[in-house]
Amino acid sequence: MPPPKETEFTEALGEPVAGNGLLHRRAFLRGGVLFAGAAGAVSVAGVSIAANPIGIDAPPSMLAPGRPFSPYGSPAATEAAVIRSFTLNERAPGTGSSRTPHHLLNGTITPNGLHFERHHNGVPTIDPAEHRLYIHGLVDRPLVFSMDALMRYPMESMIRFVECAGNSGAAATALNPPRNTVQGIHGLLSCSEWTGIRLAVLLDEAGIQPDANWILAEGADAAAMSRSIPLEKAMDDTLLALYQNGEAIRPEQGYPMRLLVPGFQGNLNVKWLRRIELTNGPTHTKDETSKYSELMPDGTARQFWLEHGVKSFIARPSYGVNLSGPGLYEISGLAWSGYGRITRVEVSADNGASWADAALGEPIVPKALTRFRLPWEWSGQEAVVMSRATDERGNVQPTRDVWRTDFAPGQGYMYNGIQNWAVSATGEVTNV
Amino acid sequence: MSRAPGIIFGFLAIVFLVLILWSRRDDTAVVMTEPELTEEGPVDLVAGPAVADPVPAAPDPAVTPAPAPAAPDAAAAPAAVAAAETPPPADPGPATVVAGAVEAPREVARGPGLGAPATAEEIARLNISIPPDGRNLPPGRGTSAEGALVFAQQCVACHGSRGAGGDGMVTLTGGLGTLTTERPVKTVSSFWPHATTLFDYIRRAMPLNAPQSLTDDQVYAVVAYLLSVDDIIPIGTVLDQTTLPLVEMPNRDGFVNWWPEPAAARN
Ligand code: HEC
Repeated sequence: MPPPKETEFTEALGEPVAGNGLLHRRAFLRGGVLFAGAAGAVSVAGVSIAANPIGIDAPPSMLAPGRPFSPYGSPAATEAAVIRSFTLNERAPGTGSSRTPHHLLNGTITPNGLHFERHHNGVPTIDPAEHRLYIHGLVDRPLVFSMDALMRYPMESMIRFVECAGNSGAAATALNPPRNTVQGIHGLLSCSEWTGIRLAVLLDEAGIQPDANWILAEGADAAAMSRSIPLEKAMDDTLLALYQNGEAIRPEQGYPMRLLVPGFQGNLNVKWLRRIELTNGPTHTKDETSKYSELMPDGTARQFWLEHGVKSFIARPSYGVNLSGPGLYEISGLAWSGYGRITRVEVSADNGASWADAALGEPIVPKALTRFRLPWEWSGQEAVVMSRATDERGNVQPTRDVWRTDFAPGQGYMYNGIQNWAVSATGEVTNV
Repeated sequence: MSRAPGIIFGFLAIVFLVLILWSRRDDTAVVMTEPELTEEGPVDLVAGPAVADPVPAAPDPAVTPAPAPAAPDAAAAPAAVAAAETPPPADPGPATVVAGAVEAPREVARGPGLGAPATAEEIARLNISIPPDGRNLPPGRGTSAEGALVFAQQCVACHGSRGAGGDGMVTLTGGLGTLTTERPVKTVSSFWPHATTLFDYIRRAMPLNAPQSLTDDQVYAVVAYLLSVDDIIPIGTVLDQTTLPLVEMPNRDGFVNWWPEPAAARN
């Protein structure tokens, strides 16, 4: 079939590819969409213009020198609302979590100051000069590493998400979908470029004994957080991470070192790492029995359910990120899978009756956040929008109802159901 | 002489695979630049797949020293390119290649070997993990009567009377028989499979405001107290290195190991 002429594209791209105004994922390119004039216009009134002797209109920022340099930059003052959210537990202030404001961010990398936090007894203050990492148990040579020693090891960088096993749990457990933002529901998820030493290098140096098949990782925090990790994973892509997005890992993220266990439950990415014990079988710590295990309808619990399933959500529009009138919008969101790359994200604007493929932001990195985008001509009618992701292993994100049939009532760990947002005729977005 | 066809075939196979890898690398490069509509041919306007071709299966390690399966991601991309550019070895005899693949299934750098030896005493002083077999339990002993005192002084403020929780507190007791009901209540009594975990956790992390402040006797005692609240152990039981691992928790058989994930669950 000969390639269609340019005009054919232009016309075709302006046409919906799925119900209720979803346009082709490339419709924003090549002028495929004729903007809807008045309806889509955004007012620019109110820009303050100052006078100068040459009679040229200029904003005040052009009429006086700007401020000088700063040792460590911070976001614009007008971005002060783009912050982590958390509720303080008065009885135990160091336990709980803070959440990434994905509805106010774009791209795929989470700024370090906005990476979600989950602590079990606060953020410890650790002097890297005093900190030691021990490797012992079923090894030929128990070893201890100082920071100075570790700094001389070969390092590598990988972009990976970290997600708390409890992320989105509210969406699974609430009787009705929670009236909350993307941050409030899905904010225990972040993505960074992590740099450090392959754990396999250090385990090899200690000499793994044949009967070792798990490791126990322990943090130097007041919870002495400890988790078992399959040795197979520890020897595969697990990283002893020292840097996050180029700078030393922040105290909330495990300074001076943490584990990065790509694609696995966040809790295994043990922060403030101080000890690794090679074991035969898992240790069955509190956070792999009492917590981070999932009760099934027959009363038994999934234990060591470690890999995050394929998942996505639309961040724009979403609860609180409303539409300002009919016209053209970009639907945009995030997709990820603990099993590898995202291969497809479909979007529906008619409550799941029809779907269109979203464009995926390149490069698509395995076990990292992938940004998806799709143009949408909103008619001004009520609509329900949702996204459905597929990963390279062929896993497809389930609906909330399907997910819930696998588990006992009230369970919410590892939830990866489809997120629906209802858009009202006034453009207000709520969770349904 | 009889090996010659095999060698030639092996050589051709490697050249072929290298070419495929090379062309795939090019594909990626095209995608990463501004997408060109015309290069895609007719656009499927009814929700054509965003990624038409499936992700390539990992090259068979038995036939080619290709980059590790994880290579074509952003972090490892240079390695993949380098491997694709490397000419095939002069004598790619099948045996050599297979041996290489088996010996180096993953490409992990070798470190400078700067780990210092850690002595057994050093390790003993910092290893606080207690697995279900009770290995590594410290000497000491305690009973529920002694533990009731510890609990009243150090725990009740955050876990409620007899560990029953309430008012936003973490519940430690009760809930037996609820796991299959509409309102499952997961507590130490109803849910935890191993008593050793209780000892391990309290010793390392509780009380929250002063972790690792209890003596080993106090930890044995408060564990005995908590286990006696729902009659998991009779009042008067002495818990120590020997008896603690023998405690049978009500839900000891209630966990299904999901690693590695059961094949039936993979879709
Ligand atoms: C200052 C409040 C506080 C005090 C005092 C306290 N705890 Fe806790 N306890 C907590 C919190 C908060 C958690 C949950 C920790 C987390 O997030 O991992 C917890 C968790 C636990 C758990 C695990 C519960 C589960 O099901 O996962 C046990 C067992 C426990 N505490 C026992 C004790 C004992 C025994 C004492 C007294 C020696 C004690 N606690 C004192 C606040 C407290």
